[in-house]
Amino acid sequence: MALLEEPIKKPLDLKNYIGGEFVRSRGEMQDIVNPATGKVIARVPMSTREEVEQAVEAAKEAYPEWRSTPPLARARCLFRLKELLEEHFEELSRIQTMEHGKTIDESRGETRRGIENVEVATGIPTLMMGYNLEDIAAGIDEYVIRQPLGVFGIISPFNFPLMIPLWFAPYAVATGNCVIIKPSPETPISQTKLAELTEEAGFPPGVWNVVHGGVEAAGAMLDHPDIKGICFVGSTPVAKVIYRRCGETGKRVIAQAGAKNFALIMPDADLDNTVAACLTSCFGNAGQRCLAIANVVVVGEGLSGAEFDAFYRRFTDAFAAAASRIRIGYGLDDTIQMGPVRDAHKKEKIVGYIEKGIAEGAKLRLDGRKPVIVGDYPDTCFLGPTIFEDVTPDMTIGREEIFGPVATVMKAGGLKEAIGMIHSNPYGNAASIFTRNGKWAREFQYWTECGNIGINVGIVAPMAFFPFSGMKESFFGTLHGQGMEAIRFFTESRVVIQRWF
Amino acid sequence: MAEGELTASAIMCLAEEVEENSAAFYEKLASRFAKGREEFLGFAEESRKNKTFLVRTYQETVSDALETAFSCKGLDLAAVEVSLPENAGLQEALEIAVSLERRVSDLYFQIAEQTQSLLATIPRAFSRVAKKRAARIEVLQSMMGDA
Repeated sequence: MALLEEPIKKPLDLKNYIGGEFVRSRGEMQDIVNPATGKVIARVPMSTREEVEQAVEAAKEAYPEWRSTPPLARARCLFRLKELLEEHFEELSRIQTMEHGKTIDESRGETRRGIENVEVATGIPTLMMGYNLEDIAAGIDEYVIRQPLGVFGIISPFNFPLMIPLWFAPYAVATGNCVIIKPSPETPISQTKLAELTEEAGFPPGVWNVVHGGVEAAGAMLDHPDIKGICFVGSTPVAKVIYRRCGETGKRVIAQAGAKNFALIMPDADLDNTVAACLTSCFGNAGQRCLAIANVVVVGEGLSGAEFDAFYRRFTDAFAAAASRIRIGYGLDDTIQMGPVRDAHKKEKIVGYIEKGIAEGAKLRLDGRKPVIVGDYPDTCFLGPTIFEDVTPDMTIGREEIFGPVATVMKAGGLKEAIGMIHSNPYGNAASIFTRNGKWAREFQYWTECGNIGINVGIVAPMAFFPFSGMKESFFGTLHGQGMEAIRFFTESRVVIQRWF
Repeated sequence: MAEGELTASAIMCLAEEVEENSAAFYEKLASRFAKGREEFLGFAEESRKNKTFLVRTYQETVSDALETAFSCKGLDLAAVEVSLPENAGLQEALEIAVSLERRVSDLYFQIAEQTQSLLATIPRAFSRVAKKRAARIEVLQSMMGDA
């Protein structure tokens, strides 16, 4: 198969998008390197505090007119944006592969998930409706109106450069707010392209802004008194800082954080489909996904010792054999099943975890440190799938978020013990069970303290019309992104009590 | 690819190539043989529509949560290839066409069978196009009788 054509032919100089204009930043420029080829594909500015303030000013200026634009007219902008996203579907997907490293199927999947959020937000005339009740007392009626609040900030991570800001931004602007998106400085190209499309879609200047940058720009957004709320997706330590600082400045906050997701493999699981689901979840997106399964727990519920051993061996053999066959290379070659991790530093960190796993006594069943790469590419960012056996929940590799293509396999004698293992971990983002037994599935759904529960599903990614949940150290806030919860997050419930004399 | 495994993207590339090659093949038949010209041009046009339909279905279905990296294995990729010898008469051309349609419809039915995990839309789309391609066989065979 031939390599798909690259949409970026020469390095791009990225600009901020403020008040409907692409403006050059005064900040220092950093190179964006394609992790598969090692080539520079763009330069991104580290915007200053003043530039964030300019974006806030532009958004504030646009807000009064935008909020009084009829919801149907706002929805029309979103309909046009959806059409433009469809038109540029392939280009946007290939950009994600170039800036992040994921395979083209994964990028197209990300684009589709992003578009679905725009589609859901087009329903704003219905979604934003309030409610009312006549005669709460004699001749008195009461009703709730959902009103926008002003300017919101979105601080997004590197691993889903197009989709994650779209968990929030379409709902924010649909409800009449204005947004400032700060993309990850590691993968900022998709959001620049998206800003071009929002302009073409007809959003008025200042409604949709993009400010590139790092810690300084993020800090400026957190401190700014005119930003009413922040949506953040990233690591737990940063999410805690964001949550605290938003509390100090009185901002609403959605802070989606780290994860260490478990999958329980019950003795009656459909082995072929379970292995395929685990492979996709553990190693898809090169493991850089907050919904990735990290710990696979083989559960011996109802089995004798010998039966449990045989079942454990059958699963791990099939899992390791299939993982060892995964083709690794540049994601624009569509025969490739796994791309590189985002950069050399991340690779180094993941390798550090693998070494720690060995040092702590886990059995290295499949070593991904020296992968076979399809094509002539530098190995700077490539890793193969790694599988550890004999892992316990208290080991570093069983406890901490690795965010790479490393899966650990653990054993639990029964379902209750396995759920206990999940609860011993501080995170609570997602957990899955693979079984044909409805009772086990219900017990798991009922008791497991995780925001997103999968039953025979490896990647528990909520659709756009459901909230993207999370618990414990994986989420800080009250309302979640996507769907109705996003509508509530981006609006104030104004209560009116009315009587006419 | 390891043990003949194909990603969803590779399957779509394959289907695009099949439909594009098929369209070009029938256009060649139409330009070479007056008899059956209308049917050949109809098949060419249908193949281009098939291509659009399959790609659109995939793009509207694909999600980061699906097992797209391990979609199919053991497919007979020879269905992609079709050529018309310079000196082929109508009878021979029709035989080649029947063989093409058999291979393509078999391939698409196989893909439909193996992509059940990619939601309902993708297997349904391949089944639908497979049936259309299989239906051409009868038309081509009736033309053979007349040739």
